[in-house]
Amino acid sequence: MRSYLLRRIFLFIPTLFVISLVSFIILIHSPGDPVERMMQSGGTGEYIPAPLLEHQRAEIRHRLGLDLPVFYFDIHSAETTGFQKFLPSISFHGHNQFHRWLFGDGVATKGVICGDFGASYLTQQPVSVLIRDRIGWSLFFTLTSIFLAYLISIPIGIKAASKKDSAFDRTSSTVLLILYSLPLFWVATLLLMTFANPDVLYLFPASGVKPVTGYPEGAGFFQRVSISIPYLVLPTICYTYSSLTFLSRLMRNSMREILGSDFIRTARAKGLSEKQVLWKHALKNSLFPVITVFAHVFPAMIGGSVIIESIFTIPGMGNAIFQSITAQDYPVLVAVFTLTGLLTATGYLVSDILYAWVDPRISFSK
Amino acid sequence: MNASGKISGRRTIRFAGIFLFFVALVALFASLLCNEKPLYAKYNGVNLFPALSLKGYAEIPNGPGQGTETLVYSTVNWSELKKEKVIWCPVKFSPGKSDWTNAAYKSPFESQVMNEGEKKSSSTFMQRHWLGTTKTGADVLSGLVHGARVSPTIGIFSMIIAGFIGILLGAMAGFFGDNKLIISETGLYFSVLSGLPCSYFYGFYLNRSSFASLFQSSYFSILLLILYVILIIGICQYLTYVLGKFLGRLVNMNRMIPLRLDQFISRGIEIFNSIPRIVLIITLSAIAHPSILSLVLIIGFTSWTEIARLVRAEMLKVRASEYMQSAEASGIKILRQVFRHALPNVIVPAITAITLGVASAILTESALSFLGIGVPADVVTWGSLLNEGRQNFSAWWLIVFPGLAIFSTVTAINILGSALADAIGAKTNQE
Repeated sequence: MRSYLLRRIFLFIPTLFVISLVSFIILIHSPGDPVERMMQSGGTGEYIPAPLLEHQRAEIRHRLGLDLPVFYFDIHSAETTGFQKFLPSISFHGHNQFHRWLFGDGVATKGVICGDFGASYLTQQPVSVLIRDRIGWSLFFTLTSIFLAYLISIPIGIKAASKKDSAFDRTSSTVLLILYSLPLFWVATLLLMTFANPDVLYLFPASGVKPVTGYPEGAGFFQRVSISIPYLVLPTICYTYSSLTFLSRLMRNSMREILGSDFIRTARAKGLSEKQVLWKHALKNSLFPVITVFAHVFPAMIGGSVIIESIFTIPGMGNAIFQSITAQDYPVLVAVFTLTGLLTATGYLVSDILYAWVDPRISFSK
Repeated sequence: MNASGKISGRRTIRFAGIFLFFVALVALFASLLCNEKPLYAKYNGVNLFPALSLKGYAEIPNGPGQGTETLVYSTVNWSELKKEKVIWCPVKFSPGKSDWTNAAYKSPFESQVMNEGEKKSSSTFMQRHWLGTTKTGADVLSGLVHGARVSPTIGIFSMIIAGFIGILLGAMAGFFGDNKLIISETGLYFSVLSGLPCSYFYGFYLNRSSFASLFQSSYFSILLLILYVILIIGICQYLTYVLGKFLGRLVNMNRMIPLRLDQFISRGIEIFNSIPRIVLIITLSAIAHPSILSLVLIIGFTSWTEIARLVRAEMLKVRASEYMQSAEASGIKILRQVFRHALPNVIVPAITAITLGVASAILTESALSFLGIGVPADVVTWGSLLNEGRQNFSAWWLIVFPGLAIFSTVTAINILGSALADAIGAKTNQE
């Protein structure tokens, strides 16, 4: 077990490095010039002579660290003319933009390691503050919908697997196939069109998580929750059904596989009732993959939530991605991307460790 | 459904196949079905075929001794032009072309105003916007028909790329395993340490200008560039390997060790999987130049892991089978073993995974167009129609019809993919 754990963590570190590398590459290649942007946002319309502008530009460039080389090493031509143009040469830099982005330079930024992702282009606020404000709603929706999805899919999977090829099995498979093929944004838009439309059925409000005027003064926690509930119903339905299909199928297949195995045949031969076989012996074993896949499903929700959050205008992380794209606010985009990548990698790590812990066959194998 | 637990019966599969064939036909003949340019027009005595011609204009002699008049097909107002004879396309509207007399979301059931040259008449049953219009008056039906070209094309081509990479890496990982590939140790280190910088230098750095203008160049030159880069990488790595092996032999330090290809590729797949796919695709689409090519590349390069995993699993099974062992024992060369014996058995499950991948690629592309990222703004796809519908919920025809199109295409592909999987008895990740 310990060696498996060590090997698994040994894989985790390169993953983190690759994620930070990809985020940094995205940051470097984002269009637009941050220096020009800072110059324009600080402008007051006065006339500034050109050399002073240049000096200002150089200063901003130095402060943002843009005059440093990009990465730890650099491959380029030995000389720019003559035959030496075709000879490669490597130069190494200790101080470079990647190192500065990751670890900070102590002056302008503390680095990603300390959670400093820079300032948003749009609001000039630190990005970490923005993320901290928004992560609550995303977490709420993700956890709620995963909980509901498990609640619904486990019984469906069990029932579908216990009576193979029954009417229930067939219809549930067809229904799940249809659900799986439905585009998420189409379902969300259809729901909004039908249930939040003043012309058709105005059951739920169309957007946001609370009334436009905000919560009334002095509202307690439960009062706030009860005010928000109508806003949360439709998004939760959308979040839930997408993981529902996956989980139901997983539960059904895992249950079927277990029900075909030898120890179940022994249990039946011993004379146990079908109910006992199902609930006492089969269920525990078939729950393994379904429980451990939780750590896979959890970070994946953050990705799918971009669509739902932008449709329902929920102030969460997914909407942060979408708004930062339309506003060309690249620090926020890179920060959210890095965080979701980290979360996904951690989720996989937790899932693998959980699986190894619960299933002794894994931890003792090679 | 029969006793073996298949998801769909024969009739459903046939229906799905016919439907996809219909979609392919519609996509192929989209320009002839829905176009504001007529199929045939006779103007000033000259026979023109505007919808069919590849040249976008025509020179019409203006009568004896009066020079020629140039008709540019896409900007001419065909309904106002004085033609002697004309045969229109079945649907007289181009996708995305504004029709201001019918602007601001006309429903399919409302009466619409048709422009017939100088006269404006109210629409008949045949000559109208059958599925309604968008905010600018663009026809929804022609948007659907032309959108049937974009989404499946992006799906198919991105999965070709993903399939290629996935089958290549998966087959290598599965076939060579951890200890089949025995190479020289010094050659390996030398090749990695000096060959990789060399191949980067000669492949990418020296051609950085052509990479910078990649999206402005033609598809053919992009293909040539990719082949050139692969060639350079191959040459550099091989030469440095041979050099390293030779140097190792010189100092008598040469040792043949197994290259753990399976470990490398599996770890690479796991690391690659840790990056959340949708977020990565959205982020890359945001910073890239919006075009169909960049979308195909982005979706293709992020979807290969499923296929690689499947191919690797199948290849491991095939490798352990008896006919492969006998092939090796009879001394068949490795390359021939791979191509003639191992790979054909691995391709069929891979094709199943690729088919299901096309469905999910179509969903991804629609989601991206729905969010407004991805395809350029002037390209009409099903997702962009849905995006217009989102802005005005009373325009239900902009939401229902494109969504139905996406849903039915994806379902049909999923049914075919599941049927294929059932037929060969392989397990896909959704089953």
